[in-house]
Amino acid sequence: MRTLRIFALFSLALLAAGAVAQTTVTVQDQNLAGFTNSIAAVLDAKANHPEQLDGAINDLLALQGNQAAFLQFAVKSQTVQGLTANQINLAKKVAHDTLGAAVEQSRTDEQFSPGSGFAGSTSAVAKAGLTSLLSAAIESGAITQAINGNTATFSANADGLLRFIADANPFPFCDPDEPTTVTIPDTTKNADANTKADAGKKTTAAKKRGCGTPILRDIGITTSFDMQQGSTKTVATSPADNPPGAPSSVNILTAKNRFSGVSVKYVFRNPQDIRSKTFQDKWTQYYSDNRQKFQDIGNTVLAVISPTLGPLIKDAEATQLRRQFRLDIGDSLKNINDPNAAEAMIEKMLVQYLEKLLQRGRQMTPNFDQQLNSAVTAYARFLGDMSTLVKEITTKTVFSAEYNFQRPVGQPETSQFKIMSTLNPFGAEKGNLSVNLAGTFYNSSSVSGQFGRWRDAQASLQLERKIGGNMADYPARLSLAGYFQYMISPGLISLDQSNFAPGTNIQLPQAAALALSPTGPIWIAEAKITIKLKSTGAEIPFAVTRSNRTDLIQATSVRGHVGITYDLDKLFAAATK
Amino acid sequence: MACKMKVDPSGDNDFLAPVGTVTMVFTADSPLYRLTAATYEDAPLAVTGDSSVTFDVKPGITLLDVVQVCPDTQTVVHIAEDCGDGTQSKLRNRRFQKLDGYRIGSI
Repeated sequence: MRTLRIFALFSLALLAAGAVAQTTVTVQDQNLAGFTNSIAAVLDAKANHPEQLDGAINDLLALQGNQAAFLQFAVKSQTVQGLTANQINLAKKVAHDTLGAAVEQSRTDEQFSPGSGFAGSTSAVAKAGLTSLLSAAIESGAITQAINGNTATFSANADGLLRFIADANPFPFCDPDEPTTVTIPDTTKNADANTKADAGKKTTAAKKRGCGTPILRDIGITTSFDMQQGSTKTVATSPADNPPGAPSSVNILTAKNRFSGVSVKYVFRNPQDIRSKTFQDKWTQYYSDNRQKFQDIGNTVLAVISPTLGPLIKDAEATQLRRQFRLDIGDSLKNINDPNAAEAMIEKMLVQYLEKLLQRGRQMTPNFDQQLNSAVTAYARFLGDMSTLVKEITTKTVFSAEYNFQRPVGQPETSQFKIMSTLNPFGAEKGNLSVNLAGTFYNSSSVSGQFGRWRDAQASLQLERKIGGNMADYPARLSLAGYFQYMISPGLISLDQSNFAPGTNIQLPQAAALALSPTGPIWIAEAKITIKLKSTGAEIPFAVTRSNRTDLIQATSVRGHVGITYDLDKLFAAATK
Repeated sequence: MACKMKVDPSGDNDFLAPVGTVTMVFTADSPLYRLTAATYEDAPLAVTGDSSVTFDVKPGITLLDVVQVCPDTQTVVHIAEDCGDGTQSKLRNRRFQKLDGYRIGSI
């Protein structure tokens, strides 16, 4: 038993040593983000495989094996291109716009409208995705509420917004598959442990993906405001089914300019297990079905990049430059033992080398910068197209969880927790299916003490598909939705102190809630067509709903809804021009 | 038929090959890997079996560019020459990148 304990302690110590004896490489100069793996390979060779060091340095400097990284460096480096700031921004905008065309335009998982519990919503079912930066919506209608309203809604992606405020590019131009941080072992501390760590590293080197800030990029925040002037509307309340004491008609406050709610959403992505046999079979079939698309995308990018970078890759002077830096970096590394200092030195010399390569490119080709911009644009489009195709099969489902704080007009405040998913059971080109489950409770303890904490439970389903066009360029989407809500508590209205107690002329001593409609189910069917205004980012949803009742009124209701939504990504991209 | 290509010991080029027809084969640790498109000296090449390309090596320094796809982006790509007699000659390994290129010097 004692031997077993000693063995366990020894194993733990060995594992701990292995875990500690690792170095994480994160490039300091973000212009070099595309070279992260190559820099890590040099540091790895220096630490663990000295015989491979010269080859690793040579690979780091070989332009043919780092073409995408070179383009990434070129487009971000303002000092080396000799271009004006406007030209640089134009190049970035072009790169972003093409990405937008390929990726953003094809997205149908973003939710721009407020939730179904808000007045002025056109959406019975919420989608699971987030906007990339900012979106705005002005909509008129109501899904579960008794009275139609007009609501302005603003949604933001936490990461995109913070980047924008910090004057950083909210749409980082990078390959989402490229890591910016790589963990390598450090043999200077514990050779045995690092041998083990190195073995593990081969398959799990990448620790951090390049695009966006982890966690923040998956958080969305939405705020909504009622836009109507305050007024009341008299509605009948179907007295036969009403709770005792409910009046036969009631004046309901329609709305006024006020904050009506906020929500915070977190998106959980659920990638498929790409190593599973099921996925391999599916991928084989998918690639076979889409081989021509993949080949066209590949040929298109090569047709631009090969002629741009080819002459520089083959140039004798550029080759001589590479030899010189290969020697210089190798010599410098001999005198540096600290991995951080080694990394800093490599980055510094790599920047010098790349600057000289760009200068050489301009000497060889008069319009080299313009060609580079074309290559960057082509590569950005390639990444977008390729990502769209690959994600279609690698991302199984997107799950989101959302908290909504709701201030419905004339009703007690509520909190709602919702989980939702948007999936593509028929392929991304054919449309998506969104599923929501939610529960709502009253915030006020005085209300919940009288009527119960839980207000309602909801389940809803929406099928949406594009009409005409292709994945990114299409004129409209059609959706059909079914929505079920069970009112666990009666529908309540809030009465302030200026009101009389129901059926009396006694003024209320304090604000109170009045049960207006019975518990029970609400069924809603919705048909919606969303007109897409070309690639402007603007959309106009038209919807018709039919419900057996609303939250306050026990009577069937058929209503129309209209709005305009705007994906503000493009507006801000233009503003940076 | 013997294989013709070899790794350039100087490191200036990725491979050295005599002028003439060669077939290069790209595979990876991951079975999900596919060679998608390729150009040699800016001319598009036909990709066979999602893994190989055949082209005539030209005199001087030349460039083979490839586009490849693999959902498992941590995979390692193995580059070999198809010797034409049922065997392959391994040339080198590379970390997977969607866009990659190889400098070929004629001998």
